[in-house]
Amino acid sequence: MTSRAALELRVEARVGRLRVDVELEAEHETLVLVGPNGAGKSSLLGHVIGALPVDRGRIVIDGAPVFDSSRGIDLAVEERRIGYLPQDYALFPHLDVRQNLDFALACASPRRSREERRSLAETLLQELGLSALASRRPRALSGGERQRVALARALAASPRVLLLDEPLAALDVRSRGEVRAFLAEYLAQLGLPALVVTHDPEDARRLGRRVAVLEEGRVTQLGTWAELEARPASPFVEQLVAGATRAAE
Amino acid sequence: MSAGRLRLERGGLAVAGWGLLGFLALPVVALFLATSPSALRDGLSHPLVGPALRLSLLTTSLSLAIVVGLGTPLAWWLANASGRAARALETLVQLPAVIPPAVAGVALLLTFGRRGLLAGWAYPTGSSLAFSTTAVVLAEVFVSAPYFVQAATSGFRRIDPKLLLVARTFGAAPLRVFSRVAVPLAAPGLLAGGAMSWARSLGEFGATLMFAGNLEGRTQTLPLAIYTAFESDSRVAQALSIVLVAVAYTLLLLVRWLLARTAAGGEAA
Repeated sequence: MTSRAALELRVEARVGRLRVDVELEAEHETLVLVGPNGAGKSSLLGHVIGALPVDRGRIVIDGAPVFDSSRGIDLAVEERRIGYLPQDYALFPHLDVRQNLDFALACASPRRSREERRSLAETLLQELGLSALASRRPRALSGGERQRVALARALAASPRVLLLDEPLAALDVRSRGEVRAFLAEYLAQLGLPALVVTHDPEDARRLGRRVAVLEEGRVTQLGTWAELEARPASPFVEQLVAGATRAAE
Repeated sequence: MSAGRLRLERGGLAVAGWGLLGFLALPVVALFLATSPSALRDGLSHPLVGPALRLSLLTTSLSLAIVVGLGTPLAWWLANASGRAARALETLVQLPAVIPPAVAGVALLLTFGRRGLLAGWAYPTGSSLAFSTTAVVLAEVFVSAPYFVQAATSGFRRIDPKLLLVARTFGAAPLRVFSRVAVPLAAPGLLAGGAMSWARSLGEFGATLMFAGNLEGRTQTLPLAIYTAFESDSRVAQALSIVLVAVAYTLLLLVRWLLARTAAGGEAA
């Protein structure tokens, strides 16, 4: 790779029987990773965060490597500054919404005073329409609200990249459309490189500008949704675009 | 299946269960029946009681502090460690809970006693920890720690690993993940483990007798005072026994109440 994309990935790894071999670049955009179950989508996020080992490759954010096997660089999860939203959002159940945000703020910038952290948290809460829910515990929130809290909390730690694993899978069908529209717009405004994993064709179509199709640990197609529709590179992509068409009808 | 057969089988199961319940409850009932309020008052005013009660409270508080202070990090490590060595160490930590207390006493003497393993460098002057209040605390820590460590380890293992991973992505240092995420989330396990461990310390007899002796005011805890009193005046033994049963039962109730409250708090949140 010679260009300086916001996020460059070259990951070779083994997860159980699956061999992951992925090369991807993303600008300050939302790149959707779509693929069948067991294709290695969620594992790829694990490799990028640093929770799963990578055999060979490079992970570079804004020109700075967080992993480079040829140079012996392998930053710890704590040092990578990558925001991660797992499927169930993993909000701390013993802390209320504001405390969840404050935890991330205090970790990412320990020198900030309590007042500074409080005002930053208020700004984020307001931005994501969460001010009224600030003293609620996660259990008292709807799926869509939890997702917004998880986003706010991830952003509180000033990440350089956002990774979202099946962000809409935990939601019921009725709220999914609304939350999807919000998420697509918010991520586009945010201007951070974001990888969004999904198996849902509608999510793949709406959430990002480009889609990378991952099958058996490899990228089999990369392009806009229109390109996937026009020239599906595999039977899976054919099914995927057909599925989105059916959902739209 | 006929209605008669159903009734018979249900009845059979109930009788078996209630049989054991009766066996467990009867000795406690006997203890209370055999001791009149005046005998309880007389027994509790016996000179053995005050020092033994004070010593038991002191030593069990110290042993609980040591067990919780050192056992929580150990349980955290065990819960996160993988591999055969970690499993072997976990089994080793449980060992004191299954070996007979008298064996524990002998083992402690062979370690900390005047001619024990550590005698050469630990006691250059020739004295030793054995037969002291410190020995009582050590014996209590030895026999009670496994109860806490086991409960705390399971408590830590029940935490969703994603919560810990997400905390790390914020840049949270290991100590912060431990103290702000892991410990609060494992609190019910830690609490139950602490209570079981304290109850085990309070009832500790065999290891204390072998390693610390039965010296009034120095090493004679409540169970040892019961043993001593039983030889001269069984009413004192009965009165002390009632105190221990009442304390243990109150503790159980308290733990159940706290656990129920934690669970209810979690649901409400």
